[in-house]
Amino acid sequence: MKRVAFVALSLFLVLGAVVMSDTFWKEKEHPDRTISATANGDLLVFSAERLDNTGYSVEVLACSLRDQEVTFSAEVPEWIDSKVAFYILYPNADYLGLRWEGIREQVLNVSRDLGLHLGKVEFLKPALGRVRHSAGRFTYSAKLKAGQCTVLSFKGAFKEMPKKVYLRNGKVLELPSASLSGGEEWLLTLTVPDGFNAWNASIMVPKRLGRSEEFLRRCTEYRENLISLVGKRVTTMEELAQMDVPEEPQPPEDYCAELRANGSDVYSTRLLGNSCLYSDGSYYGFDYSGEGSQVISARFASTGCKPAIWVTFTGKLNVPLKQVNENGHGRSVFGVFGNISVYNGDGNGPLMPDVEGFFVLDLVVQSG
Amino acid sequence: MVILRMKLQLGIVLMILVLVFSAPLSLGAFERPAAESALPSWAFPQSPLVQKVIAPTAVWPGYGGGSAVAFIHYVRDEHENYYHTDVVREILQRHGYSVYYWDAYYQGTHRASVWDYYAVFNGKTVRVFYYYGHTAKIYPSDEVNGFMILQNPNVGDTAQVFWSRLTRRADFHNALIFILGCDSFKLRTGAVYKTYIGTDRPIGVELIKDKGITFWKKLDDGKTAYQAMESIQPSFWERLLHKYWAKFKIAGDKNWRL
Repeated sequence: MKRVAFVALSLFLVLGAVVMSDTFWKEKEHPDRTISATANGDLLVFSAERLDNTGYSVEVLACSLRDQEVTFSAEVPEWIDSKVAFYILYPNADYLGLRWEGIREQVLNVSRDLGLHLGKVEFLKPALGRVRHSAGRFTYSAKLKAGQCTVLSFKGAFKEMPKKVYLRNGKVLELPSASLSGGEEWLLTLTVPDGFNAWNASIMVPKRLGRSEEFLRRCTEYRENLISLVGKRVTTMEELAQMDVPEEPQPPEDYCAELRANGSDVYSTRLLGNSCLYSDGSYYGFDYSGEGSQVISARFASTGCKPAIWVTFTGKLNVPLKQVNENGHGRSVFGVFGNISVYNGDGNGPLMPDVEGFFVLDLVVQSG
Repeated sequence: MVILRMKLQLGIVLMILVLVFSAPLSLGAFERPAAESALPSWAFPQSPLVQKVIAPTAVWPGYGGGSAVAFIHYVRDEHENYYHTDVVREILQRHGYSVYYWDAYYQGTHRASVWDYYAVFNGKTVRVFYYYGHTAKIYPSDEVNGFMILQNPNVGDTAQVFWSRLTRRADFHNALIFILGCDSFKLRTGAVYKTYIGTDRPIGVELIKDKGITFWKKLDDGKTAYQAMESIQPSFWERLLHKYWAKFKIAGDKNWRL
């Protein structure tokens, strides 16, 4: 009975909506401008970038609505390229893989609205041997059938993280900053600037802190040696998996400071973030999230050597697209940090690709 | 104007017709789905209908007749095979746990509802809860903030809703909860647990299988939850190589053992 009632109610709503709508009375109009811009060149494009302490990652996924050659172009800006030790090419879409179900649904919906009827949407692994790299620019061309998607995905692993971060439009990205003040009673202040659409941050106060010059030296040397082991500018995960990687040095059990705070008891890695300072793995944790600028503070007490606090930050970014026209064909140049575009043989590409960018920072804050 | 009048008239007539035919039934249509209060469908393995819908191997009794309950929740990935339920199930069974299993893709494609999922927990005392695979993106403004129940980012619940629904039905006070998915340490909001383990940021799906298996094997070897977690923390090399690497955090009793 309930099912009948549900069907009747649905029928009522659907019929009512259909009869009152314009499309019931008119010939189907041309697809609206939004869909045309989204699927310009019969392509749908999705991208995700991430910049963190270890490198700069790019994923660009393109789905074609007809049989055609599709070209990806991703230019890594000089301020990133100069800090990269080596690039890794990946055969899959990671973050965009997470979104795959939604992306496939979107491709099917857009193709239906355009009057095309794709039987299915499938992912085609990229031929990594055909990805070209020259002067910080990656290009890849693939012949895609209607309903096929493929990806250009790579990471530039840093020898050191750039000190300044720029957005694609040339503006300097103001980064979150943190400082410590006090004596035995300390105040950590974390300032999140404007510019991040959404962000979250966690503050980790180590219960015991260790600073060993000997370990610092071994830890730094290990990392430098590991990076120089690769010896190629562009490589793949397959090649890296063959490498014999020496074991990472473990921090000693000596501590020089004890800290106390009102946060929740949390345990994690002994190394604080990306640094070579260490704890016994026990922390007092504080979690925050928000939108826009904010100043956060946390109090703690410390005895012994000078304290250090581990802050992790993830912020979401957005930068307006730039549209280019060449010989009557148009596409967008997009990306949060890099200059990325995707186009077909005519030079057409989406004017409104789906773009996401993340800035992820492990910050170790010390006094003085 | 004529067309507009025709639209209005026909629309009104159709609405009245549908209302007349549905009125006696419509009140019941707004009741909560019956499935929520029903027993889990896999409690009736003799039903041929149920056998068609739910994998018959969804519950495995623990060896030695133990009464402790473990729950494995698997969200598959289309392009990366990180399935390792069989390994974890075998370990948990050997330690006397009755293992309940939810394959979000399988259930989603076999017309299960989220209420079937929650109903499985009715009256249980859960000591192990292991969720592995994608977590859900529910609100576009947030990165990742929920649980996928039917293999669709839009059919999930936020952490608050998820844990409140589970803990209304089951006792998690002594449970180890391990969520091996993106940003999962944040997903403890609202959870009741003895020990909770999660990631501090998005994690690459290619890392899930190896880390999941290693973690459970360490627990199987008698290690504590903290020691097992430390064995899967990313090395410097791993952080360099992967686009999405994450560190693990643990809250609660770090000395929890299987």
